Amino acid sequence: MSNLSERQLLCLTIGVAALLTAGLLYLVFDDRGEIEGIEDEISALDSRLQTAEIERRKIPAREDKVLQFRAVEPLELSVLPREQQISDFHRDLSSFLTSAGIGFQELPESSPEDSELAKGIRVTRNRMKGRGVAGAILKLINNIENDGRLVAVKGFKVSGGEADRDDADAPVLHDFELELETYFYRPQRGAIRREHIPGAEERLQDPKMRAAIAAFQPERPDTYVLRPSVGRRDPLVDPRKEAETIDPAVLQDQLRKEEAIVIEMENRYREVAELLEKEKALERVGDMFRLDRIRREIDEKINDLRARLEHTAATKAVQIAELRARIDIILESLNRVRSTRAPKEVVVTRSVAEKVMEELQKLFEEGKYNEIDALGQSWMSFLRAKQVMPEAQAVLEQIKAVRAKGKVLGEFDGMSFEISGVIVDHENPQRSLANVNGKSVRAGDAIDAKGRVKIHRVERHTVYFAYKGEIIKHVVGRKKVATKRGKRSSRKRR
Amino acid sequence: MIQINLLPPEYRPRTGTPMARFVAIVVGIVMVLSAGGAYAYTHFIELSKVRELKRSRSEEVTSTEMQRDRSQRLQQEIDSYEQRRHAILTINRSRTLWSRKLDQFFEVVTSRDADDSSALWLEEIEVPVKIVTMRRRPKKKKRKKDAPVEPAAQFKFEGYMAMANDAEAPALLSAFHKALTGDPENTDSTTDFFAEFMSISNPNIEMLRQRRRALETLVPPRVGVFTYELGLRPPVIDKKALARKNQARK
Repeated sequence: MSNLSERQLLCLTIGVAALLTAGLLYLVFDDRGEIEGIEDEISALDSRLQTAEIERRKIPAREDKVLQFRAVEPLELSVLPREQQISDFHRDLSSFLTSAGIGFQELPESSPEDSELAKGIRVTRNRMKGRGVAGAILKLINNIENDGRLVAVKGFKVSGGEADRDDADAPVLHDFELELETYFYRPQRGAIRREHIPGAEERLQDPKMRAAIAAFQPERPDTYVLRPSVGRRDPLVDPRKEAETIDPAVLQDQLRKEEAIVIEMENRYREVAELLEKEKALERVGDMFRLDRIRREIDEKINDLRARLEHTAATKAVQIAELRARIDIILESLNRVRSTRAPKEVVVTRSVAEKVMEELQKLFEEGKYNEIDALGQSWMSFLRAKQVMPEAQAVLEQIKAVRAKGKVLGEFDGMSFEISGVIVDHENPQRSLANVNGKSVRAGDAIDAKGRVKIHRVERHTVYFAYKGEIIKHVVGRKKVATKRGKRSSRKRR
Repeated sequence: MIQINLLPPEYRPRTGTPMARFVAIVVGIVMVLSAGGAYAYTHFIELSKVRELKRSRSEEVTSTEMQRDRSQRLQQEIDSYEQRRHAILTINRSRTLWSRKLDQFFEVVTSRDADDSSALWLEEIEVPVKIVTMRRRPKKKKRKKDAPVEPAAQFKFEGYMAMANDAEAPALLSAFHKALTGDPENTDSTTDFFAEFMSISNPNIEMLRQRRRALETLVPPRVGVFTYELGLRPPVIDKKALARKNQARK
């Protein structure tokens, strides 16, 4: 160093300083580069974080949704299960068949396959054959469709059966085939892992969650309740009846009776027409007092005629077509008159009730107790939802009493017994005996096992029976047989 | 020439570091120290800070991505539930309640029994099996205008109509046709039975000539056989209407 000149020392100094500085600066720039690289990595991490954060924020809502789905899952599985459960379905089919009263014939083999409806749905197609009446077949289809599990009737065929010639009352059975589909849900991919949700029990108790679950019920399969069809005939059975040739005298008698009804209606309508003419005349002259009276009279007569027409239609008192046509004309004319007047409901007046009472009395005297019952039921249907005038109430009570009596006598008529002899004690009538069904009985003794029919009094030619509060007379020497309820048959006009 | 300074040292003039060298040394020291300082700051402060930040961010990302995966698994579970629910809806919508149709149909047939002048009964009822695929509401640009829509099912039946004389056949059949459909062409309304159908074949009847003599004693005596074929409208999933219906049901 001492041999170096000043200039050399100067250069050395500058050189060393420059080298050291350059070295340090190089290190600084190297670190800077590293810092930039790390900052780029941090930016990438930030974007990943942002993306993951968006998903993370959805967790509470998704957990709530999953809890709701899990809560209703049992209900959904009962509608669309994960497995075929074919044996359960066949067991249910048996109960449907029994409930509907169907005769089962065949259920061929079946196997599940993929459905075209949607992915994951598997379908098992079943075909079933059987026999039954139309109402029972309908009930079977209804039972199947109303089942909680989704079952679809995809097709059917019902062929009308033949009536049994040996037994006209036997029901006609029809052959049917049903094509059914049952479904279950099994997606192709593997089972989804159920995530654990912390605090699930507590969250399910939250009122908002419970309300959300209650509102989140799955769609229930559509169902249908069959209409009441007790009186509905079988639509696959010929309803026609054999034509009956009747005695011309009987037909004449029917014609005479029905024509009398029609003529009475026509006369009543004529009276209404005459009163309408009078009403117009009074309107022209302005006699308001008489006009008011006439109008009330017209309304009463219209009401009366309407009630009679309705009653005639309800009881089918007029069956001959030509006479029915005349009734239709009266009805049409009456409706035309009513359309020009203020609308009023049919009111049951005393005269209407008395007319029915007359018919009942006549049937009673003829001993036609079944017809009393039928007429009484028609009368009750007629009365429904109609106003009854106070003066008609007493007659209604009489009608009720006649119906009740007719019912008792009808029941008594249905019993059979034989009186083979009587022994009468005139001095002590209580000791008189009658031989009924081979047994000797006195007044007060019962002749049936249940004790409903008792001997009331024994006379020389007559025995009086007591049954449900009625005293019924029976002439000795006549065998009393049970009377059958008669059927109304169609008549062929000649 | 040799120069000898004879002055005693204490009398000699002072000699210091040359100015140039001094400045160079000072400048050199300053530069080195500055560079060193910069390096120390960059390396020990900034770089370590950034490394620390990166480490913490990595941890945060790992944790958040685990949560993200969980969220996605929850969504997968929801998707599976929703698919099953959609399947239930699809099957339910594709079903036709044939017991309802038959009940309404039987009511129409048997309501013709008002009087004894005519009678009507059925021989056969058939709904052939047809596989139904769900159709969405068609987009207008994909569906051709006036393209015929295929019915979802056919409801076929054959029956008999009895009357007093042959001339009554067309009128009776017309009355039955109107009772069946509600006469929508004239009244703008349909019966409950016909509401779900989109087509019906024209009325047709053939009077039976060769009847067994025994049957002619039945009243009414003259019988004709008729057939009908109705087309059922295909079901359509209308999600908005369905949501409204479900809301009303609840």
